[in-house]
Order: sequence, then C-alpha cells, then structure tokens
Amino acid sequence: MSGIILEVRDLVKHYPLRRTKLLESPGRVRALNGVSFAIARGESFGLVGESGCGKTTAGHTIIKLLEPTDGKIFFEGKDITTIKGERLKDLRRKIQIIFQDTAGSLNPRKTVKWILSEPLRAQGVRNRLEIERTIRESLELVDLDESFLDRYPHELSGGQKQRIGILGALILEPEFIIADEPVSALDVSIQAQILNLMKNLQKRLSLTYLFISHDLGVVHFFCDRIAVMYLGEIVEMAEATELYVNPCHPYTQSLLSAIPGENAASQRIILQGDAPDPTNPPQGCPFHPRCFKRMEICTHTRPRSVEVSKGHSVGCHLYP
Amino acid sequence: MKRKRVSLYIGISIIASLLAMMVVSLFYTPYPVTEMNRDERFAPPSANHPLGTDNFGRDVLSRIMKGSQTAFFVGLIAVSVGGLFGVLVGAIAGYFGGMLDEFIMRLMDAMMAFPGILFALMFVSIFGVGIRNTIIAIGIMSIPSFARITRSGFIQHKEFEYVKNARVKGVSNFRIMFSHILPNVLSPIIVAASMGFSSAVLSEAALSYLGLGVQPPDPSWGRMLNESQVFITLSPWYTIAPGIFITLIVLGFNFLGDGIADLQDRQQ
Repeated sequence: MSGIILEVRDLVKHYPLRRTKLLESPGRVRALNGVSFAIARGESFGLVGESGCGKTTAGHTIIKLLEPTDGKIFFEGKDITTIKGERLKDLRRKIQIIFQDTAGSLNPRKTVKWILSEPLRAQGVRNRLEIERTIRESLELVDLDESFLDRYPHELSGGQKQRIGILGALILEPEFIIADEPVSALDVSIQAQILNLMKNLQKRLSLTYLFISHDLGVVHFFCDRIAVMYLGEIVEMAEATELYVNPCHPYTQSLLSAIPGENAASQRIILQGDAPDPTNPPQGCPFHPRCFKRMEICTHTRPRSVEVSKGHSVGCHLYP
Repeated sequence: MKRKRVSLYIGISIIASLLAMMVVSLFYTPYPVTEMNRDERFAPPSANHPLGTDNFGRDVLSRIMKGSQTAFFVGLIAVSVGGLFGVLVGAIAGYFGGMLDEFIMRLMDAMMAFPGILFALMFVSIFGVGIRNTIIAIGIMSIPSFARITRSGFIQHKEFEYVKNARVKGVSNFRIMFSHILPNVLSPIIVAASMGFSSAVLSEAALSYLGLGVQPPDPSWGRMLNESQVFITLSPWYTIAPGIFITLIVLGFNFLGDGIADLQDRQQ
C-alpha cells in the first residue's frame, strides 16, 4: 500500500491579465511558482496558506480543471500533465475533488439523486437500476438515508450538502481525493463531524487525501504531512507533529501562533501588511516585506529549500 | 409586494382572452371570414356586426378572430426558431469563449445593426412573398437577442463550482451546457421569449401592412390595417378594430414578460 501515488514537479501556473495596452505585454498573476511535492498512498497531505497563496490553484491544476503553465504532474507514476479525451475521463475515476463552496458545487435545479447519478452516467453507466442501487448503497457511507434523494440542495443544511458533495466525489470509487477547504464554510461543531467522517472513509476505502486549507489547526488534526505555501511557493514542508513542534520558517511560526488556545504561552506573532500583489512579487524572498526576522540578504536573494532534519525542508535564509 | 404582481395578472388576462378568442375561431366565427355582402359595406358596429363590416361587407369581428390565428402562429413559430438558434449559438459563445465567442457575437452585432424591417423586406423579396418566409425572416431577426441573453447567463454560470464539479466528473461539454447550465439560466430566456413574441406579432403586422406578409383573402391584423386606411374617414371603426387588437396583444406579452421578470427578481 505504500509508494508514491501523486507527484508534482515544479508546477507553475500563471494567469495572463487582460491586455490593456496594445504594445505592452500584459502582466500575469503568478499563482504557482514552482511547487513540488510527492504524496504517498494512504496518507493525508495538507496544503496550508492564506487566501490567494495559490493552494486552490494547485488543487485545480492537479485535477486538470486548469492547464499548468509549466511543470509536471505524475499519478501512479504516469505523466498526466497533458492527457486528454478518454484517458482523462478514465483518470476522473481515480482522482476526485471536494469543492470549497459546498452550496455552489451542487446544481441548484437538480435533486440529490440526479446530482449523485450524474457522475455514473458521465462514466458510461447506462443501466438505471444499477445507478439507483449504487446510490442507495453508498448513502450509508456518509450517514444519510434515502429520504434525501428527492430533495433539492437548498433544502439541505450545510453539513448535509457537504456530505452530498463528498459522496459525489466518492461515488466513482476514486483512490485520490483533493479536499479543497472542505469544512471552512461549516459551523465548528459540524466541521469536526465532517472531518471525522472523512477520516473514517479514508480507513474504509483506503483513500489518499490532498487536504487544502487556510486553517493550520484543522490541517494539523487531519494530516500526516503538511506543506506551507506562501505566494505560490512551498516555504516549509514536514511531518505534521514536527512542523507543529519545531516550525522553522517565520511564516509558519506566525501561522502557528495564530491558533487559539493551544499556544497560549507563546507570543502571538502579528504580521505587518497584506500579502503582496502576485502580479508583482517582491524581489528576493517573497516573504521578506512582512518578515519579522528579515535580514539584508532576504531583499535580493531567493532562499533555496534545505532539509533541516529528515523529511523537514524549509526555504529561508535563516537555515543556510 | 402585491402591487408588483399587477403586470403579471394584466398580462395573463389579456393573453388568455386573446388565446380563448383564437381557439374559438378555429371552430366558429359569426360569419364566414371571406363572405362578402354588397348590401352591407362599411356598416357601423351593430348587433349583427359588433365591429362593423369592411369595404366588401365582410364581418370585421370574424376577420379579427381569424387574424388572431395568424398572430399567434407567427409569434409562436418565429419565437421558437429564434429561441432555438439563439440559445444554441449563445450557449456555445458563452461556454467556450475566446475567438469563437468573439466571432459569433460580432456576427450577432452585425445582425442587430441591420434594421429588422429592411432585412425582412430583403429576405421576402429574394425568397418570395408569403407567410412562411415572413415567419422565417422574423425568426432570424430575433436570434441575436436570445443569443445575447443566453451568452451572458452562460458566462456567469460556467465559473460556478457545480459546473467545475461536472467537468471533474467527466461530463461532456454538450451535456454540461444543456443539461446542467441551461435549466439555471432559463428564466431570463423565458422573459425574452415573451417580449420576442410581442415584437414578432408587431413585425408580422408591419410586414403584412406593407403587403409582404399574409396574402389576401386570408385575414391578418396588419393587412386589415393596410386595407382600411383608405377608408379611414369613411368608416374609422374598420381601422380602429385591428389597431386595438395589435396593441392589446403586444401590450399583453410585454406585461407578461415584465411580470415574469418581477417574479424572478423577488425570488432571488
């Protein structure tokens, strides 16, 4: 069961801006600037960062909703960066995504039953009885019963919608699931329910998760390994506990200090300013304008990623 | 709250009564529509002829009733043709975007820039005078408005997560367009269809008035207006009757469209 299931190498995604002047080339939003990581089969890999750091872009690029500008994506050892047509359709059965906007990911004009049968129909299941049976059997996975089948999304609560969203992803029996902020729109009490449900499903169906979130607390609870993103780059990557106990990058330290309660003893680090404009990232280390441990070298030289201990890498000049 | 529904109710009642009249005319008119009576030319409204008679002594009410068939038929077919192609073209432009969108929409702009009546005149003079070509011309003229409304809905909805969700599941583009997105953008299209209906009726009246639409002796409101204008001083009611009915049907569909739009605004 071990081995690498998904690997991303130097993934780059730039969005061109609209051309406003005829002779000047338009700027581009640098959403991903060379992101690399590998996820082992059966693990939960967390991708954390603030809004606009490119974590959702990363998820959407991996599931091929977006074309990467550069870099490679490997799934089960095969290059899937540019696949199309039937092979892409086959891949859809193995990689699925749970969307950030729970309510928006369900078609408001369709019943739950229709929404759940659509993936099966899209994958070529024609037999209506078979579709019906698959759906009825799978409802139990997310602790819902058949009474939900004839409801419309607006008749469901936030937690129920998310369960349907999760089931929509699971119904094709994928191996790898990208969970893009799966609980950020939910009440805290429901968050725990959904996270536990996802953990149980992982055990039962031997799933691998790429868990995307802005909430380091949630990610720490849920994931085995965590990568911290800032402005389209991974600044630190480590085992969840290691990252929690021994954060190296100043940005990770500030994120951890923001988790309420647990680190009450330590000083809360409040960053100055906003995240920089991704169309015009700063020179040198992308974090230096907000960094509280800024040095002279940070303003002109990009730090390289170094391994500080086994499986713990960080990109910061503090660790040469 | 209640006040807003007024236009919906007015629209529904006008259209329903005109529809009822049309249905009755399929089985019954007070007099045969083409029956002439030399003794009763230009008769003023009376118990026998509620809307009077025309220059051939034909019963105007009977011809108005029969003319409603033309109006509804033209409206229905023209809106269906325009709606079908307009929605198809608009959906493709909005969903795929890029150069294809640019190309389609500039084509639509060109069609919109071309005066409708002029286009219909040209179309009819090339392909021949008659109700069928009139309908086709009116239908083609209404394509751009449907295309624009559909396109804007698709542009908005294609970014929604339910569409991304469908793509991720491997649903084909065609199915996403017409099975996933279309039901969500249908309401403004229905409003456009209602408005399109009224303008189609108006166009038919205008073309028939110019002698390019319905051919005699079949009655059409526009045609009756044309025939009667010579006698407007002699028997004004002959002119007034078709004028009132053209106004009524156009007003009715506009009210209906407004009413539906209001209803949707409130639901959102």
